[in-house]
Amino acid sequence: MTDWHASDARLRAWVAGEIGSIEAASIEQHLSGCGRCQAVVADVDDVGGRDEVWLAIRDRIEPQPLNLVGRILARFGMTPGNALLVSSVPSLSGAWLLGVGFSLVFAVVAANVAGPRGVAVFLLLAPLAPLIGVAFAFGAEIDPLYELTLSTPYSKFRLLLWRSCLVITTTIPLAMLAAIPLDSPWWVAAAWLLPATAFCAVTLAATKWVEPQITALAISVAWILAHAVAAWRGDPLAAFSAAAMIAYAVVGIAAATVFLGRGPAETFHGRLL
Amino acid sequence: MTSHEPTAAVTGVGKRFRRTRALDDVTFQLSTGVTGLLGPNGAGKTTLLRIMATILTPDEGEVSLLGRSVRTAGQRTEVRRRLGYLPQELDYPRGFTAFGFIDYMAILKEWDDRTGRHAEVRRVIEAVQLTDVSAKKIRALSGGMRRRLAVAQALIGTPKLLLLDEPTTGLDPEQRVNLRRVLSGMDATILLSTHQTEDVEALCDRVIVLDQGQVTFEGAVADLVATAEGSVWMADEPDPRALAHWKAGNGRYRHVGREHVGGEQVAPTLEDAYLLMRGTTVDELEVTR
Repeated sequence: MTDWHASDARLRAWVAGEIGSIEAASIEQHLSGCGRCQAVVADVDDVGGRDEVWLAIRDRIEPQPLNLVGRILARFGMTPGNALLVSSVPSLSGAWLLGVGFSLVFAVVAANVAGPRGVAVFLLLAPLAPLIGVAFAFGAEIDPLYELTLSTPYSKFRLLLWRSCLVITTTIPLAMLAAIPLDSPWWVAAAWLLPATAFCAVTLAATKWVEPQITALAISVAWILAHAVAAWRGDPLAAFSAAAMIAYAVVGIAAATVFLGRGPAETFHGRLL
Repeated sequence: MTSHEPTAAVTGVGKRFRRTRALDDVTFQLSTGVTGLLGPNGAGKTTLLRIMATILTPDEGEVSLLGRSVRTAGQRTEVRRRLGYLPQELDYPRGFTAFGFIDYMAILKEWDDRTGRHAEVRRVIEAVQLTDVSAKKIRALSGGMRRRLAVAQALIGTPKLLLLDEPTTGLDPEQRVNLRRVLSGMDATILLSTHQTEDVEALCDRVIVLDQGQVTFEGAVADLVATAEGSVWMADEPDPRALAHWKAGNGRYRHVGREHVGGEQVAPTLEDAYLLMRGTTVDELEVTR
């Protein structure tokens, strides 16, 4: 408990809305724990009763603050409630994004130091960033409120779709930014986008039967093995040939059709959505 | 206030997890009021509640809740709009305050209007007596407070069907009494899964006993207690012939068993009847708790 109190004049000014936002925030924080100042505010004539004032204060300090991603979504017109649901996902936390950024920067440094083989390292890692993000967007092992969420009327299909889109739109620009200092042909910076999109679409389509983390792990292992085999054969960029790109596009479109076409009545690896 | 019109019906429900049969031909009906669900660990109580909470699909049988089948998506969503569910264990999102968590759950329950939602969040937080800590981070709350917070989310929107899995775990006697007061004041169908027979005795008018995935008793609490009539004695010395015996607070030994072991016959409790029904010794009961 502090001995400091806001002066009556400053409290009246706060009630009248005549002070700056920083001082107002300070007074609101103090008011939440100070009965003496709450009483002064309640006695000011030109506001309602003490309960109304106290409720207004609580409305400012109690709600969960949105994280950076949530604030951006709200700025783009999403309701704060939906922004809170969508942005509360581990694969959008600062620590995760920092990890992704660090891995990609490492890959770019490797590419610049090791030449063509280094470029292959970047192209190996870049598609996995959005894939892993999607895998950790929704699921029993990821979301502590997963089971409770399933028992609510909110559309889980919509939640999965929004969170996945958000993860993809956050990680892809991150990887594209990381690719800017890449000392390689221009197409390298974008070549990984098609496999990345296809991998994410396959993971989402498979959620009907399998947890997304399992699908993402299987795809990652297959992708790394394919790269290793290609490098061993002396063609580290074989996974980015024209034929491979067409295959990614076909698989991606097919998987997206399966996912979007299955509708909200379907199951999420055996659980009801 | 209890109505005997069935509001939930579970008919021939079976559920298997690989080789383990969790539920086998489970059939019962619920009506408005509080029904207790008793049974040892592994009896299938949590699986049954998860099926009724529309999280799991049964392998066999039908579940009708509030007059709707849960097989179709539209009907399921309608049920979920009137459903409150408390899981046995609940992890909380990192960094959330008590208010933030309940607010998050209220958004999932389609409380879109911010002002109305916040009023509802405050109402349920007050119902579990957590108003003073609503702005605190959940990680700073005690185990009992966290459990009450979990109960609070189940109360959002005053559900017509409330499924509670071990709601009194970790609560002190005063908090348990408050929870009983809140639940007994609701006009809803409440299924209360618990190991605490005293909660069932205090709150429920009906009880279902589940054992090894099957219903072994369904009826009034008084009827279950009556099955132990004449099978409970107090004596000065323990008698190993009894199914169960333990030293009571008055220094005498309480015996439960079909076989008369002497001493003074006393009125049975629900716990006595439960022990007798399961043929369980006190040592076994302690293991299952």
